[in-house]
Amino acid sequence: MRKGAGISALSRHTTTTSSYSTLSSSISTSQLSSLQTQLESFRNALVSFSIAHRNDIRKDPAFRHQFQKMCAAIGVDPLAGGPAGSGASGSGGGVKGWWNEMIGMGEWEFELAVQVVDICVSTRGENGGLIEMGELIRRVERLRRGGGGAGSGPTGQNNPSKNTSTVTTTSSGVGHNETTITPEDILRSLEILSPLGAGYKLHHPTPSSTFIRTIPKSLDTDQSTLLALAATTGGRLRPREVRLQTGWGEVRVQLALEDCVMREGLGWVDEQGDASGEVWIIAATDFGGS
Amino acid sequence: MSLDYSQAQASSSSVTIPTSHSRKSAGSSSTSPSTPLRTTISSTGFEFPAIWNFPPFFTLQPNPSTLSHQLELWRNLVLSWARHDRVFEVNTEGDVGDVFNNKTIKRRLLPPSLKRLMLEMVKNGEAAPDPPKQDTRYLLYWRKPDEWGDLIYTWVTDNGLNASIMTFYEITDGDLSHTTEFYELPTPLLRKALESLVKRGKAQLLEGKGEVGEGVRFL
Repeated sequence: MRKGAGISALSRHTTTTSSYSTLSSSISTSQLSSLQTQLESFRNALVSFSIAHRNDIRKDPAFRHQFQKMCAAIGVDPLAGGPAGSGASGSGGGVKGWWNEMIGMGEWEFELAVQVVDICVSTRGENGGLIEMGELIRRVERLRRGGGGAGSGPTGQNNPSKNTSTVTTTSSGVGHNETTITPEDILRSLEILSPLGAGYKLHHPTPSSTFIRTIPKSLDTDQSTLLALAATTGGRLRPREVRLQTGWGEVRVQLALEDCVMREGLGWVDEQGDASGEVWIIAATDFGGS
Repeated sequence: MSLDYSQAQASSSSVTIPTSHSRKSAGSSSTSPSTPLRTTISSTGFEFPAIWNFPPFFTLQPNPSTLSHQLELWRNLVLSWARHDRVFEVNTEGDVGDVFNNKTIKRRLLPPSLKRLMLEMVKNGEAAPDPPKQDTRYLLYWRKPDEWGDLIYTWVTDNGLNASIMTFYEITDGDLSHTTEFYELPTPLLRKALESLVKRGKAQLLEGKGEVGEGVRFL
């Protein structure tokens, strides 16, 4: 068959092209709509997921962690947007706000951040603005249990009006069905706080320990060294031992310990120890899980 | 907690002290987790908080803000301990209670520190020198005199004893009071409690005559 070079061939060609383009546009329309359907169902799935697992997300740290990883993987930040001001936000913010409300993740984090601040501020008198991660978590948990106030700390019993024995609260091991908080949660809440200029800084005197400096003043090198040493001795600093470990002169040791007590308030003096001038860094002292 | 010197030294002798910036280089450090300070249950069942096993807790701190926090912890501790063990009096120079003497860690609150603590408690209405104007003997107010007064008054009304006259002894040690909270309440504290009732027009104190001790008429 020979393709005609006539006018009819030309018109046939035009028809073909136009029908192709019609087809193409109809295909992309259907693709778009199916994509929209998919997105819609993804969204619905997420909604039902988050409704179903809202409590798990809030209470189970492992689940929360996985959830956060998943969010990061798909490029969604469960924290984006504020806890409340989502309603008025536009196209972009709408999703964020929706997300936020759905999961309550933001609310959870903000609540934690507030509690962290509460504890950091209220324990400054005791620890001079340095708190160990585990201790901070224990205090948050105690605060959430409604047991002694944030300031009670290792005293465990802040409230004189409770004359029921405190044995029950500690030995019955409350906390199984309570919210458990992990160091990652605390770190996230510190991130939230950073734009506020709270100046909370992390210290790692040993690889396995994390301390949070809760006042904007950073530790000088001698103080950091003392902290590092204290982290290995359960908080106790004996002048002789400090001298051996650091190679500092007697005067420098004495001054550093004195600063630790008087200037920073990190250290507590023990006058009844077997060597004079013993100082304990309270933040590095393990008060157990009670 | 006993962390003796040789032990502490051995566990950290090879450690180059890492600063906060060099955490990675500190990988070799063998941190010996020291024994955590625990709560202690006394023979009477009172649970001493973990800080009670923190040796410096028994030295009043030179740093003012640490001190004020420390005193607050002490005040709360003394009140809950006294409430639990029903301790009404403290003699700063006599045989002080368990709370002031931690035998396990060999630390105690020495008399000058104890006096300082008592002053702080007086300032907060949690104790009172008795007799007044001396600084060795104190009454502990884990319940305030007017609260004791209320308790006694409620008990009196519940037992239909109002308008009758009772001796001090009958109130705190009588057959009827065995089960009450103010059983064996020391007389000075009882007098303060009754005085608070007098002030509120609920009682009248009667002087003791001869053999009969002091008495009170509830109104």
